[in-house]
Amino acid sequence: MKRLGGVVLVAAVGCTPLDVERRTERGPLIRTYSQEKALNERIPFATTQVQWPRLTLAFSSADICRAEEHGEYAEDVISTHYSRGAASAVSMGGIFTVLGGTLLAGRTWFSDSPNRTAIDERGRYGASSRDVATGWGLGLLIVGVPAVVAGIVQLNRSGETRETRKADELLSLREVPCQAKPVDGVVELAGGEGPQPPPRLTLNGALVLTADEIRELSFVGLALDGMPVTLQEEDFDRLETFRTCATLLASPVDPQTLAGEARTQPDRLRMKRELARSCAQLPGAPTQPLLDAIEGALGSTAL
Amino acid sequence: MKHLFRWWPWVCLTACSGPEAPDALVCRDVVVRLCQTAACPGVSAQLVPGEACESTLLQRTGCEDDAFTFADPTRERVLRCREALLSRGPTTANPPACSDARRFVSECPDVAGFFWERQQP
Repeated sequence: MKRLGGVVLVAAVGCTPLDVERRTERGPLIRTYSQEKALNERIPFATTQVQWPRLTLAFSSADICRAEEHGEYAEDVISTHYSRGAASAVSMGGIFTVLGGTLLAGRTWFSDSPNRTAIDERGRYGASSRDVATGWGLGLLIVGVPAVVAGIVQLNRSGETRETRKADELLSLREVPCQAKPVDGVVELAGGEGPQPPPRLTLNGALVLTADEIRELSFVGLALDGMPVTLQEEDFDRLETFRTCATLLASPVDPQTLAGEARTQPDRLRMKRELARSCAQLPGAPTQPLLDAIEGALGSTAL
Repeated sequence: MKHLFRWWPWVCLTACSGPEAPDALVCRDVVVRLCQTAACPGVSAQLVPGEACESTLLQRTGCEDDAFTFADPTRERVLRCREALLSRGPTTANPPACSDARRFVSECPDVAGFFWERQQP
């Protein structure tokens, strides 16, 4: 019976709510991963390839993919359970319990004779000191014991719990061409000065332009079947270099002329030498005779 | 019920009381209280303040004898009327107020007559 009473008491006061504070701590990086998501917006692209004296433009239709790089972290969620009143409940309840218990245990120390100095409205003497001590002792126990039990239960339930979970963070986001497929169509070389060059048909997704052809063409951009063609930066640079070199390498190498130019406009000749060096990056470009002549002209001037 | 549970210790402390006091003691208690208000105006001209008051009333009522018992008025009637004199507590350490004594006289003329307005046979 006593055990049952204890269980009921703990159950009754054990449901007292506790305050909870939560904080999150980031743990180590577990892994990184990438994921690509197509936006279903197909647009034409072109890449360039040079084998002197030909420039090949390879056309393709590609989707725009959103490339995301994610980092996966371990994350600790730390919950701190506490009760502000638990300690005071234990101390106050303890004092009440000790006082009440002492009064009850020591009630025989008090006189059992009634208080004859007082007669109440019903004509009865006042309660004896023993009865008063018993009443106070019971009252203090009734208040104190639940307070002690509640405080102890709350103190036991106080503490930290740690829960580890995965957290995902977006590290970078890029939009790049993807799922490219070769495509054929009518290529327009547009935007240049003078009359627009006639449209050309691709063959197997490619259009080949020779250095002689491109020297005669004036255009800024490309369109495939009326849609503007996007070139990556390196492909655009290669196209521009090819156009420059088509003009530069077409002139015959004349040491006499270069020597005269070295005397009158040496800075211009040095610039021409830099251009010739950049042409050397194009596979098969015959730059060596021109470079040798320029070096010779500049060298003779220095002497 | 909720209030009874919450104030149980207080209810116990105030409700707990000792054995029934004999009629002689209840009578003497009333005598003491009445004599404590003897000087109050409008109570009774027959009450003479001082030590003679208590001895006179005890003699008149007969409750100086420990074997005294109430007959007319009954114990219950005396107790009910005595309640007017208890406003300052169940002990005689604190004298009743004059208004309490006047209420006693006005509400309980029969009991007042038992104490001072008629002679015992």
